[in-house]
Amino acid sequence: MKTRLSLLLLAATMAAACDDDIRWEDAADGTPAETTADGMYILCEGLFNMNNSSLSYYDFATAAMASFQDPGKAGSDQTSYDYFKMRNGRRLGDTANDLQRYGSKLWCAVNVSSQVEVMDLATGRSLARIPLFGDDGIARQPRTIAFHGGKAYVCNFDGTVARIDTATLAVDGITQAGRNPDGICCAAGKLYVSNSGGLDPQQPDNTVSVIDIASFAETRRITVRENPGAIHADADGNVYLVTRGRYDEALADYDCRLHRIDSRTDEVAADYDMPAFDFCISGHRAYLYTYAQGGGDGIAVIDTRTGATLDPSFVKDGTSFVHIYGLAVNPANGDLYVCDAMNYTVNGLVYCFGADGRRKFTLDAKGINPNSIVFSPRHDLANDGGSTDATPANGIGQVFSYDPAPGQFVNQMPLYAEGDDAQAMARKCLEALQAGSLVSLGGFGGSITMGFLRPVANGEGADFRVLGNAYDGSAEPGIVFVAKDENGNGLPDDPWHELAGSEYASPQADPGYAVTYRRPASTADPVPWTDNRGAQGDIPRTIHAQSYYPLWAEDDEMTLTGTRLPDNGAYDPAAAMWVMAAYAYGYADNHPNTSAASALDIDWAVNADGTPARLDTIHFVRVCTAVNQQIPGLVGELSTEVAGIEVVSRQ
Amino acid sequence: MRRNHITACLPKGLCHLRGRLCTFKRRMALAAILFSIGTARMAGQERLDTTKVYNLGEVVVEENARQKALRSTMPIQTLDAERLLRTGAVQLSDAAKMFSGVTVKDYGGIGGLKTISIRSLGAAHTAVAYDGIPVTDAQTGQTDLGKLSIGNVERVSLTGGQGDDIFQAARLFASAGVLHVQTRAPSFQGKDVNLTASMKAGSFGFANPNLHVENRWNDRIATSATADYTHIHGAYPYLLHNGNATERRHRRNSDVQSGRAEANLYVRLSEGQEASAKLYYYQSQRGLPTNILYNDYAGQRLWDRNVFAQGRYENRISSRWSILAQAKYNRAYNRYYDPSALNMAREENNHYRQDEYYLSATVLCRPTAHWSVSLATDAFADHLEADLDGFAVPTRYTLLNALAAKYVRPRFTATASLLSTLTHETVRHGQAAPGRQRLSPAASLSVQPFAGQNLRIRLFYKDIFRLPTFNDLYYGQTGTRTLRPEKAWQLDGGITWDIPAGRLPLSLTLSADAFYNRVTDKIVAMPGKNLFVWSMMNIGRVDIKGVETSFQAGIDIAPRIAFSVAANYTWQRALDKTDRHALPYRATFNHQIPYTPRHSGSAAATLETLWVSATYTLIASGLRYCNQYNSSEYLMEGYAEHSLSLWREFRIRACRLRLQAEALNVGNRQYEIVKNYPMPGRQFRACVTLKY
Repeated sequence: MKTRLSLLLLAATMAAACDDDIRWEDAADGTPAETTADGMYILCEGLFNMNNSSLSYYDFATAAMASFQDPGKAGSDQTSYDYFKMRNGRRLGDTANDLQRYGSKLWCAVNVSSQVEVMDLATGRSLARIPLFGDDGIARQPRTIAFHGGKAYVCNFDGTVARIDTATLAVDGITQAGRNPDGICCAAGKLYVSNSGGLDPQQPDNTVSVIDIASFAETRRITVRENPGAIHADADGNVYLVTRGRYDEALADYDCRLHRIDSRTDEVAADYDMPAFDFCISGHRAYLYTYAQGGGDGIAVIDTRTGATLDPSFVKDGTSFVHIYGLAVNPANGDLYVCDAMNYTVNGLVYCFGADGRRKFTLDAKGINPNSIVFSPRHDLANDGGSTDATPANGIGQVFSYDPAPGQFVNQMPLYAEGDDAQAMARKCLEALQAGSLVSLGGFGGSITMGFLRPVANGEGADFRVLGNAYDGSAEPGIVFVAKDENGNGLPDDPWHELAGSEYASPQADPGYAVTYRRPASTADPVPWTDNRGAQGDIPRTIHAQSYYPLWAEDDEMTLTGTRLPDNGAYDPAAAMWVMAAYAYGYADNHPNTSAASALDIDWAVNADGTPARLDTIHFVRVCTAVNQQIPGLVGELSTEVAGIEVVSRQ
Repeated sequence: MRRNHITACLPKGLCHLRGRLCTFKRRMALAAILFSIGTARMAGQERLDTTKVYNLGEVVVEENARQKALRSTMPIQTLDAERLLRTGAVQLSDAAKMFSGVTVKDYGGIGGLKTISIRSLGAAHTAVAYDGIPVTDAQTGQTDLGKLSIGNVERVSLTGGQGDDIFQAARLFASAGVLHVQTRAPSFQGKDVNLTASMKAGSFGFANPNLHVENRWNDRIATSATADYTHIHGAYPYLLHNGNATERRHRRNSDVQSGRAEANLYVRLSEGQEASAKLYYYQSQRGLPTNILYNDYAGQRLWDRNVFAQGRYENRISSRWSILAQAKYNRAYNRYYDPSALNMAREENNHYRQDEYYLSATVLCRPTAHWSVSLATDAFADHLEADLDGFAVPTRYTLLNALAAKYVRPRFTATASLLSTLTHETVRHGQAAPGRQRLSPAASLSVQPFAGQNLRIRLFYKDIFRLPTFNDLYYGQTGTRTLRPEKAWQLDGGITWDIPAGRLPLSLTLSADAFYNRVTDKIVAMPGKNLFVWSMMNIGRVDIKGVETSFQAGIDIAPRIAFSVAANYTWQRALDKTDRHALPYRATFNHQIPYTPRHSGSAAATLETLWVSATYTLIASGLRYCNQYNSSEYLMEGYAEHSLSLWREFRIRACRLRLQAEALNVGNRQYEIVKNYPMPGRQFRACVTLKY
């Protein structure tokens, strides 16, 4: 490995010896082998006043950065890696500070251009460019974005927070925070905004604004150390932030500190003697960019529930960084991605580390100052931008219950934590779905019951789709049920109507099928099942180490009833692999999200007796794994995954 | 955070258009030798190092400049007033763009910042001297050429190294190159008053009236006074290309109003003993345009005020001894205002004030007919005040001593010099930068190998450095007190071949120089340990090699019809050699430094007739990068700007009237010199000059 690396460095040096065709070759020391995402977006901030923010897209399947020929470029090499420009025919702007995913959309705050750019996650196509200027025409300078309940909250350097509806993509409110906010996060139904006051270096701000989401007004200011910066929360409402203090002449640097705010009391609950400059949170782990006085940047890991240091030095292979500029965790597999901005004038690097702290691969970010990474679970690289009249929008408003069957991703997607009950897990599902992350329903019979953000009217043709992670040859279908809130109590206690998909009338469909799962003696054992047709088997162990039986379930056995659809997985001897074929239409996690065949029509809803339900509008939706098939090897049990709801918008 | 402009540069220049036109001009009475209050100097006295310019008639100056360029051991390029006028130059930067081997960084329009870098050494290595005394800016180390109007300028010349004039201030030895601006000296012919009034007006609200008066009070005392005013709204159109979309925008907040007044006193105390004094005032207000995608707000403004008084006393005590004493007081004030700042005050309103006290004395001794030796001593103090929180308020005391020797034979010239620099700094707050001391040698020679041919070979070496500027040392958290000087050495070999008109009415001058420079301990802004603190560090090394060539020809086609052409071409490789191994420097190792084209050139052609005369001017540049990281994303298109002027002179009794029309950037070429700062497209100007 080492020899290979130095050879590559040598090659890069040689490549740099001629400035006609200088490419900072990827110092790739491993092959990207990402299996749970199609690719990732890398936001490169560029340089102040250079209009050179860019978005790179890395495709894991081809292990290549997306590129195109840009006739607008000078010189003979017109290859451009600006994926935003490739998709949208224009540039992102100046000094893009933040990139985040919410549902099926990608949100980007472009600071100096003073715009929020909203893109379709699957294609990178812009859905809206939202200008943020004050009444006097002065740029608000958006900096960081947080999401909650169908709204995006953007903190602006002019001391405001803008609220943007994630469906209409219009600003529907502005409220005041403190001076020069640097970060914003959401916890316990409140927004936390770190007021840096950084533009008055002699008098920095020292507060965190607490903004009540319901009233969208600041309710409190928490006094913290001076010059607060990065602020993030975990799913349990633990808010962490970094304060940087004033420039210390003696250190010739800032002396940074990490703190925790308890969102129940809105008090600073703990101060840590940790020189963290920036961090990201994944589950209950916070990865902190720490630095030691006198050099030596590093990454430490703490448990966000306790604040205890899990690992003071995450990087185990001796990789050193020049200037860490962004950290991101791939939620699917826990890999840590580190953006290195170098000296801020050359293309940055992106390092991928496995959970063992060893570098998996390194990429040239293809832009200057990479600061954010967002993973795209299902990407449509082939979509060249033909317009569709359906505007994807995350239509999830509530998760009423989450009742998975045992499965290899259960307790992991979303992540179970000690003490979580069914309600806590439902809440985690909502957060995951609003962020566009996957929720696994486990094997046959596992289900999730959700409420739409707004009632969905039964329009002409397709009305919505349940987002999943299906792709060609990898369908894990779930039956979709819908309900109208007929008694108007806001709860899904009304009659459910199955959406009659293509297999509804199939003679092989088995309504009234029931499976009973039993908690194994050891979490490391497979989960045994029996059905009401006399068969038995188990949910096999795959590479995932956690318990496959829901840990919050009180009973040691569970019986799940529903309609079993015919097995869709079959071994293809020619390809020497298992192929999970999609049904024709009408199911969740069956066709790719971008495929027309994944769209659902409320007209398909039937009553229990099979007659059309003729619903004019629906409020609730339930998805239930409909196949009971276990496939040898890595695939394991077929389990429906849900990543959100997309409502087809109509103008 | 400091808004750093990436270092670098641009086009080049034309040079000593010389000429065959001397005789022609004489006939046209365009430039008569008039009475001058000083001792008139013959061309043959050229080798005496007591150059003074104001007492020379124009034609003699022209002849001398040409002679001087030919004989010089270090390359000299000169543009005289007439040529500047013909090319439509308004600002000093317009003249600088015509020189070879220079890159002018231009943020566009009349108001945009313009700095010059000679042979890729960087703006802070170039001195600008106004009538022999450097114009300085201790804060930034670079002079904005846009702020120097050339309304009353007689001549602009650029010397590589220090030139081979050793009878000059020590400070002129202390930079890698000097851009000399020589104002017009009064000269009288049978009358005691000369008057020049001109008015230029043109596109984008441009108006530039200028008045220059010269008075002779008696045969010892003369004065001159100049006032000019420049106004432009500068809202020129440009195309903003953004991917597939092209938006037609107008440059906003691009207006400039500036005024200048200057008074000069010239006294001839006795034969060989002269004194002069100058009072200068400049004031301007300008908007600072921006070009940010999706955000067209532009409200930042800049005010400048500059006043200086300078005096000069020269005494040729004997044929062996001469002395020169100079003094200057300079005060420069500027204010930066940004109403869109998001700090507590909701505005940024910074005031800066610089003071400089300057004294210089030079003694020249000619022990034999061929030898001359000089010792120059300059002492000066620079002080900067700024209303920034916690600003250091630095004062720098500098003592320069330059010992120089020159040996002159008809076919051979050699010079050698040694400059000693001593500095001491104090600050009102915090810690001062340490004092510095350095010795800087230079040597040069020029040989005429063939007696019958006006062909000269020259060679020079110069070791020089630039001190860190006050911004480098003290700007907020960026400044680094411990910065060392940025060193540079230059090596140049060149040849000039001058073929005067003989039996054929054709004269020709060919010149070529090859140079090799190295900059070490380059002062660059680098990020510190974390993201907020950029600090200045001595980190870079740049190796520069290049070739400059120029060519001038003049021909008298017929009586009263003359054609002249001048062109130059520069090839430069200025490569980052900081570190080939370590990250992140290896990423830019061997990359061309920003804004440095490999190929650049300029050309001018003039046809003079009795009826109307015309000049065509071309400035061209090849591809260059706007980032030190030479990725193709940062490659900028080359460009060529063509301009045309037509003029005619009339004689009305004792007055001469000149009418001139100019079309600049005739091709309406859209281009940028500095990324995101579009240059103006086609512009028209008319100029009326009345001379009495």
